[in-house]
Formats: sequence, C-alpha cells, structure tokens
Amino acid sequence: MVRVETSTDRRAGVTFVTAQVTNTRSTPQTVRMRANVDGPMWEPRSGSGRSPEWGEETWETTILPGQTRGMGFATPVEPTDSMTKLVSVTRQEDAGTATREEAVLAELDEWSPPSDIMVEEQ
Amino acid sequence: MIITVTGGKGGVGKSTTTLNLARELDGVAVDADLATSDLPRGRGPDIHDVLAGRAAPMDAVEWLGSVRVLSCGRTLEGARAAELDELPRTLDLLDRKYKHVVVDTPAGLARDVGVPVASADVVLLVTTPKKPALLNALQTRELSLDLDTPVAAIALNKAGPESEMPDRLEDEFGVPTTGIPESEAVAAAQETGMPVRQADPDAEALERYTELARTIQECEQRGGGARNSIGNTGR
Repeated sequence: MVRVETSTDRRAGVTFVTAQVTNTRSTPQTVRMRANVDGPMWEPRSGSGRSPEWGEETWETTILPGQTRGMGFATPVEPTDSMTKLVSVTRQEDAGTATREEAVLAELDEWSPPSDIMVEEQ
Repeated sequence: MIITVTGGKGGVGKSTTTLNLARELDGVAVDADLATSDLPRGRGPDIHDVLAGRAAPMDAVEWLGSVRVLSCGRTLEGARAAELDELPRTLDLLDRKYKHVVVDTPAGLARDVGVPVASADVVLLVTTPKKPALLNALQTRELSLDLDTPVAAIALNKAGPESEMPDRLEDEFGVPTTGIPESEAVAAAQETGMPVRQADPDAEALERYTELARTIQECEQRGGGARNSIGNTGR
C-alpha cells in the first residue's frame, strides 16, 4: 500500500495541509487523494494554471517503489485529524511497458542526418 | 489511428504506399523520413519546423493534390534542428484531428524508425520479393514486436501478377498481405507524387491500395493496435 503522513500549519486564518505519500510496494502505484475538508480548498498553482497533479478536487500521481511524493493545499477550515483522504491506489499497469519501450529505443543507433544525401533547398 | 509504414530496406516503395494509403483512408500522410524524404514537398512550414517547435502540426498540413500531407523539408539545417523526441506528440495531435495518420519512415533500423514505430497503433510492413528486402522486413517486424506495436498488414511491392508470394508471406508472418504488382500506374504515380486514385483511377493497382486500406480499417474495427490495448498512456 502507500503510507500517508499528513501535517498541518495554521497561519493567519489559513490552514496549510501537507502530506507525504510513500509507495511501500514493489511496483509503481497510481495514487489518488483529495482534501477531506468541509469548506473551500485551494490547491497549489504554478503561474496561471493548476499544478499538473491536481484535477477537479483530486490529486493524482504515480509513485515509483520506495519513493515519496508530497501533496498539499490550503483551506480556511480549522485543522482536524484527517485533512486528506486517500481515494484509490492502483498498480500502474503501463510502467513496465514504458520502461521496456524506452530500453528498446535506447539500444537503437542514434539518428543523425547524413550530410552527403541531403539536397539543398531550391 | 497512427499507421507507421516501414520495412527496413530503402527503395521498396514505402513513400508511394504511404501516399496511396493516406489517400484511400482519407487521412494525412506524414513524411517522417527526416533526412532523405520522398513524399511531395509542400509550400508552407514542414515537419522540420514542427519538430523544431517553429510551427504547430496542424498548420503544417496541406493539401497536395488530393492528399493531405505533412511534408518534409530538404535542408540539412532543417533536419539537424528537428527534435525526434517531438514526433510522438506531433503524431498524437494529428491523430486527434484526422482519423488516420500514415507515417512514412526512413530506411534502416535506427531511432528515427524506432520512434515512429513506438508511437504508432499499428505498423504496415513494406517489402519486395527480393531476399534482402524480406530479411529487412523480418528485422523490422522484430523491432515492432519489441516495441509492442503490432504489424497490421504487409504490402508486397513489385510482386509478380501470378505470384504465390503474398500467400506465402501471409502464412510466414501471420499477417494479411497485399501484393502490389509493378505497373505503369504505380510508376507514374510515384513520378508525379500523386496517388494512383488521382493519377490513374482506372488502374488495377488502385484496387490493391483499397484492399490495403480495408485491412487497416478491419484491424481498427477489431480494436487492434498497441495504444488501444495498453491504454494509450505515456505515448
């Protein structure tokens, strides 16, 4: 499964929630989480857009075996014992294929344009 | 559906097959033979510009006669500036807009073949009955299988009209095989850069290209293709 360690920090009427999500299994896992708050939730934003892990109210990412990822958000709601909720954990089925594909491609000869057969633009 | 046309050997008719298949499927032909391209050249931005981030894929597609083509530039500078790593995303974007994306590839088995094969739903192998071409086709099939992209069909160019070769290949490779005999119509189409349907609509070769297109469509209807079976992630 995955291990989730959540901590909160209340400042100026805002609760900052951070969670460390660790994949304790031996295969890559796709983890979905959401904020467990009764009120507004503000997910982190980079520039004008939502950060890529966040969809509509849920945070989703794939975590490699033994790795830890962090998620967080802010809310005006007072801190509680369970600010985050683990929605689902599923094994990442494609991870093996992607790695294999990359490995096969990496073994092929590098591509470079041969200068002798190129025709100059007219 | 992304169909990558490949075969290992040069001069077996990959570009001609690409153009005709794109025409029959009413899709877009993509010239991913980045350094030694054979498809007709357009007037606007080309695939070098797209892969260098200078043009959007859609903006570089143009009608050349009766076929949509994303053509390839002919300059060394252009080829050098092209980022092969951008090709999968380019093909994906085209796939969303056009139902069929037919990709022409260079000869050989380097990464500029591997990347379009890995990005495709299916591969179309092109070969001639000559031994070196067949051996190259076999190697290309191995590569496709290593990259989890199934071979949907084989186009056997320059097959004799009464040849048993298509049947033998079909047995050997376990893949539907269409023999395309050498003909004036195909040669003329190749020379003018026009698909047979446009250059010589009464030619017998047209039936063969229609058959090839039907094989691909049947494969599509069965839900064939790498990306369907493994969920289209990370491509």
